[in-house]
Amino acid sequence: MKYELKARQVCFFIIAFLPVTKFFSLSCVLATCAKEDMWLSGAFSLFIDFITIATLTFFCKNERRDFFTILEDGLGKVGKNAVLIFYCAFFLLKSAVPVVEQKDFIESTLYLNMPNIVYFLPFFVFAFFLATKRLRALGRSADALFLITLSGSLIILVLSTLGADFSALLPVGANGIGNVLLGSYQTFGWFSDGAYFLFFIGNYGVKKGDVKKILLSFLLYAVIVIFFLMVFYGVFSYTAFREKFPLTEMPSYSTVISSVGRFDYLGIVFILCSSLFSVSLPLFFASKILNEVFNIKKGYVAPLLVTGILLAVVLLSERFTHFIDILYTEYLPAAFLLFGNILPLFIPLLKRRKYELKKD
Amino acid sequence: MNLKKTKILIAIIFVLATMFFSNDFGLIDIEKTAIITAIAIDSKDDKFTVTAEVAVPVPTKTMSENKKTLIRGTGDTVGGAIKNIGDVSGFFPILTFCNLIILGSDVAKQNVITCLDYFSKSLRVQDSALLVLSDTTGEELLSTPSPLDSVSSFAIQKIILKTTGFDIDSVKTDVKTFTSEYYSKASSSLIPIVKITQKEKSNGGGENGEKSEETALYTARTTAMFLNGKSVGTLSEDDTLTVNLLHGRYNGGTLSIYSEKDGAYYLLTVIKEKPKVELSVKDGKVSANVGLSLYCKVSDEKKTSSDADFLKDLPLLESLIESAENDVTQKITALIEKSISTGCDFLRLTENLYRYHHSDYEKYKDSLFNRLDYNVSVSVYGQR
Repeated sequence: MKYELKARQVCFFIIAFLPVTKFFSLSCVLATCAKEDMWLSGAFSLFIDFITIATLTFFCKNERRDFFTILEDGLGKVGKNAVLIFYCAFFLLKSAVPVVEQKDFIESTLYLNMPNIVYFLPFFVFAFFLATKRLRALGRSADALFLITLSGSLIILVLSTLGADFSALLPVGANGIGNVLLGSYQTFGWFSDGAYFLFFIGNYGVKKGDVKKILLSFLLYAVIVIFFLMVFYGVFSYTAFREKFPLTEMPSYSTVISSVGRFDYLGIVFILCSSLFSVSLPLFFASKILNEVFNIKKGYVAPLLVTGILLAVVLLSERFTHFIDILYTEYLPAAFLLFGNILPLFIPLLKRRKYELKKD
Repeated sequence: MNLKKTKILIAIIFVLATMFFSNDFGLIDIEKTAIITAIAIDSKDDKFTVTAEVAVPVPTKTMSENKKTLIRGTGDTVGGAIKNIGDVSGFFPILTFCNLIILGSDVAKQNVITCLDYFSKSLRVQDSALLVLSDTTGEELLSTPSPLDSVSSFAIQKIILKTTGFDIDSVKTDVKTFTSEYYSKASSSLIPIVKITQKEKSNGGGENGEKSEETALYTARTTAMFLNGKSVGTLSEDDTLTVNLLHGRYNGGTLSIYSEKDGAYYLLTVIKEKPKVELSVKDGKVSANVGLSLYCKVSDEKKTSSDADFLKDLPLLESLIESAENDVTQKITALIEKSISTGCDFLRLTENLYRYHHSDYEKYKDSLFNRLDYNVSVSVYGQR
């Protein structure tokens, strides 16, 4: 049977795309709440994602049907469409803040004077183009980009570690379990990546040992993110709460940089290349959902719609940034947790339902 | 791919490339750009005066020394004063290359975080910009040229930024370090004081008949102590050297030691140093154990008579070791006393208490210096 993806590409997907969205304003949001225990908050969110991904990977490894078919078999067509509409909204909301922070990062760090919105339009052109492609395109992109992400992360982390004081992370747990969990809760929008794996069900062949490889890839991703959070706090400590875009600042305190020059921008550009795909992922899946729900045959309609909606959000964000930040960190985390982590856990139960009905 | 799609793709790539290489049609004329290399902040009548040292790009086919100019702006805030620079000069101020921020002595009398917070929050200035305090006004320090470099900020940076192997006789701090220490538990920090030590008039007379110019040499061997953003005292040259020793920044530096028993002066090079500051809390008592281990060798000595058999790699004399240990112990003791008397916790004892004795932190955080006992142990050793 020919699959859209290979298991290898699922592993590379995790390493190439999942870490990069965590390198921007996530760390300052965590530091505001959990302070020196912010890495524990990140670790907890990653643990929840791990449970979701492990469940989906392990219990659906021999599944031949894709996510849409499982939903239809289990809930009927109306039920399926209802769930998918909610997931479409989930992905659109999940993409909002990462796209806005990408725009702000590029605007603040790569431009000398204040550009207008036109400079960011190419992103929407790219996101539209990616959303017209099939899952296979994501797999091939992951093949190409996982080394780019790893290299970029390595450059940034190695240079930043030289100027980090890890004793700033002490004492562990001093802020209380409440603040750690609150920090984790407020940042579910940046995590909740288990939802992506719903679309991999039935789309990749699993040989012996592939599940272990996928879970090990996730562990590597988790180590990169947790180490990044630790280095971030080690570099900034008491001013971590205000460092919204640490990527350009973290490596700059290394003496190598002051002697040789800002070659850390090479790592930053690598990460920006990967983040182009990473930030477009929710739009990709949202357009696939719209195609399925409304039975859209023309490949450009749904991508045009989702990128149009996101463009409107980005334009609005000029005046409503504070509102969007509060929405994302205080009102929506429960929804992200529900759709990103809790509901996917029911898929292994749902996929049995067709066969049980047949037995009856 | 058919021809129509190919043409559309080429058109899109062309538009994107044009936008990219033209900075989205926002390229700035280089001759209208002020590349600010240093900023001096002074305060007068509740207003800030910012003097920016601007590197002037001059097209030339031959090697020439750096050229600079000074532009002044005033404002109610530091950000406003910087904006005023652009308003009055017509230059677009680029702060990305600003590597030095000089605070005037009048600024240090108020809470300096009121001016430094702008640099910490702004992405226009890098957080790794060095921070120094002038013993006069910042503008005077910037405007007085030095024979070390025609751009005075570069000359100042040369005496602050020293790599291992040079005598690191000044404390180094930057915007990030200062603001991080300000917001820390102890809210204590250090800023090196740059002084003009001697002014000389260099006579001109080149081909163009240049006028004589006054140049100055700078030193940064003393340090200002800050508590809650306000200056609370000064560390002498010996204290500054000791701070560098205790912060592990003195590898390759030298110590001048007088050995009373030998009646000789020695210059010891510190090959390796290992400082240790530990806090212990027991039965209501807080004790600081300050340790320093120095592996040294004799670089030079001054005796009453020549020693033709002197070999530098001989083990250190017992008398020299004893003198060195006493000397460094006295310096460390004086430094700790200064920290206690001013309340400026640059040895980070409060941080130590918070991180390693967290259960006792709330109990002792406000009375740490009142109940502090300390013990200094220095060991100097050489070749075996």
